[in-house]
Amino acid sequence: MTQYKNRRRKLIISTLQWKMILSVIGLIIGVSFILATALFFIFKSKISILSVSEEVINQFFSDSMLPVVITAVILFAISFWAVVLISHKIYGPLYRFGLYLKKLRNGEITEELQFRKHDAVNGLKEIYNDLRGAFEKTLKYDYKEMISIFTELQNILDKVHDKQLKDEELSQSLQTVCDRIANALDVTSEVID
Amino acid sequence: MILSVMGLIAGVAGALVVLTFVVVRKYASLLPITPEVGNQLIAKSVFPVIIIVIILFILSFWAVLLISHKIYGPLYRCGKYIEQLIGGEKAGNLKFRKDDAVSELKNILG
Repeated sequence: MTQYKNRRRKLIISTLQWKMILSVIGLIIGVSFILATALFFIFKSKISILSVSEEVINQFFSDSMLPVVITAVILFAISFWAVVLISHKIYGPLYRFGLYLKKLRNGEITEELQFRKHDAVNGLKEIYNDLRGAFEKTLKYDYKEMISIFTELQNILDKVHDKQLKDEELSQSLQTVCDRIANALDVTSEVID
Repeated sequence: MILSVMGLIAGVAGALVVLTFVVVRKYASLLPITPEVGNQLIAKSVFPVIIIVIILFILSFWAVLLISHKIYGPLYRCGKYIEQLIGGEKAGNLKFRKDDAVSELKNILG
């Protein structure tokens, strides 16, 4: 839970998330502003044709502008909240993806990457989980196998040094080691394929 | 993402347009004009407003598309890059463009 809270806080101060939020909010404000201004200009041009004094027209517009401005401010506040939510659905899973990759890079074993149902990043989860599976399979298996093979080679070396091995036994032992290395290579190749 | 943002823009802009019409109609009754003239005034304003709305939405759609490209373009590249790694292919350094909206991923990765 603490980690989750921390993620949210970090996302909010994230420059790029702010950039996205500001771009979208800027777009919404820009479109609304142009639209409202255009509307008032259109109304003004239509009213000017009528035989109404300039003073009355100006009074009419100053009166009607206030409720529109107040509503616009409320709508922008709600839009801001909505855009923050949308950005969380993009940058939330992205942040998690980055953290998991970082762990993987540091040689730590991670859980399967899970995204929430409505997260707006598709495909990345499957790609990461494939990568994680491949890494784990090769690294774990290869590491254990290499230790075991190395131990066996040392034993053979000791026996050769003590002259305990005949030529045929030496050949058989080395053949076993070769088979195990070949098997480890096969596993790695399977993962790569 | 495009649909969410476009929906938001359409919602806010639509609400503002409707509100402006309602407010103008209400205050038009205070003008020394007959209600018929007032209604005619509003009816005549609808067509130019619709044209402006269509133009603005096309422009917004294009802008939202650009924003989404800055997010999903590098993500797609990142996905392909990882697929290359899994496939055992040689992959150079993953590069993001200066304005890509996910370049912070590099900072997360350190």
